[in-house]
Amino acid sequence: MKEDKELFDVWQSAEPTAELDTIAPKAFLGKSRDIFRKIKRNMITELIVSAFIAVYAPFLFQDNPTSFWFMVVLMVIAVAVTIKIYGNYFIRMRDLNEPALIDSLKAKESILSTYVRRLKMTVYVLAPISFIAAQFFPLHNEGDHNLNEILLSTAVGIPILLFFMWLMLKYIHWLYGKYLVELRNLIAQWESGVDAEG
Amino acid sequence: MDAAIQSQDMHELDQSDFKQIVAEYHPLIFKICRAYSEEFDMEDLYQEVLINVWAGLKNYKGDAKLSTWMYRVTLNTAMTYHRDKKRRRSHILRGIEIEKPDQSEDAQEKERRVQELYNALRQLPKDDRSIILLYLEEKKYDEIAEITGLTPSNVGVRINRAKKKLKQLLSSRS
Repeated sequence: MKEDKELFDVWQSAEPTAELDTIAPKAFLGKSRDIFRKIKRNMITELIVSAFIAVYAPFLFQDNPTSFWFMVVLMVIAVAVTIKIYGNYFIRMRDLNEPALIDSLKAKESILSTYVRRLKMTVYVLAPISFIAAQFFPLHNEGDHNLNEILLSTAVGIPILLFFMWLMLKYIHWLYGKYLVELRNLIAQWESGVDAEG
Repeated sequence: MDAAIQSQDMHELDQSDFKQIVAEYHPLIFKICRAYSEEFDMEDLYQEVLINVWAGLKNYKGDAKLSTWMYRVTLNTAMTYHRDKKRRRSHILRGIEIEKPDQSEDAQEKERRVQELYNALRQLPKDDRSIILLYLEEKKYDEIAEITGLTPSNVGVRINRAKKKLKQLLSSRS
């Protein structure tokens, strides 16, 4: 207990070495570097871009009324689903720092892992689709089906596509993946103690 | 303080109310931030905590005591604080410029012991660090359990384990 008293004494004597007035005012600027605020900002940008695409997409098919209205319905459904998914994210992100420590860590891990998985899926789905579109639409429009050209552009394009996908996945890992690993390690630290002794 | 805050509508919180609340908890936030950061990025972490407190207070419903809520927000922010390497370099450069005022021998000795304690705390795993910080703040097991999400019996076990590690670190330094 004597040793504990010494610890308490040192801790109690550790007064703040900076005055509140010198560090507090910036808080009102709200310039946070918190990773979840960045994700929220990204999602808002994605929502705005998606909304523009949703409004514009049906007009690509304005020559054909059936296709036009099909696209309108499709876009309305897509926007509704997107708003529901993103809305859930925003609600879950609102009080992230306020629950008990273990619950907060688990909520952060859950949100981030879902977000990273979604980003990876986007790379896996969008990159090949973009590649196929880039390869075959010009050929289709020109009506020139030269097999050699298709084979050559595919042979050159596939390694570039794979490299691009690898680069994107590395970038996602650098931006969020490393932080996600840290979160998981932290949860494991808390839970290992609980399992061993609780 | 807690009672006064809990009777107040947090949606109407303005900057002066916020400053008053932060002033009350400044030593607590400062100590936790110091234990979870290096000297050069402590201010950034402190800012991050204040931003989260400012954002969170508006939705504070009074389910937990304000002090419990404040510990949770501060520790949650500190434990998962994400450092920016570019900013780290600029802060290292800025840190060189900081000058410490002349101190008496007693004050220097006190500061040395405090610094030793912080250095040892920073070497503890983040979970043990949270537990030991709450212990040093003389929180009861029930309140530590409420802040961390552990059971009170588990809190006791973990405090003993963290204390042992901390003392080993301190004795190896001295």
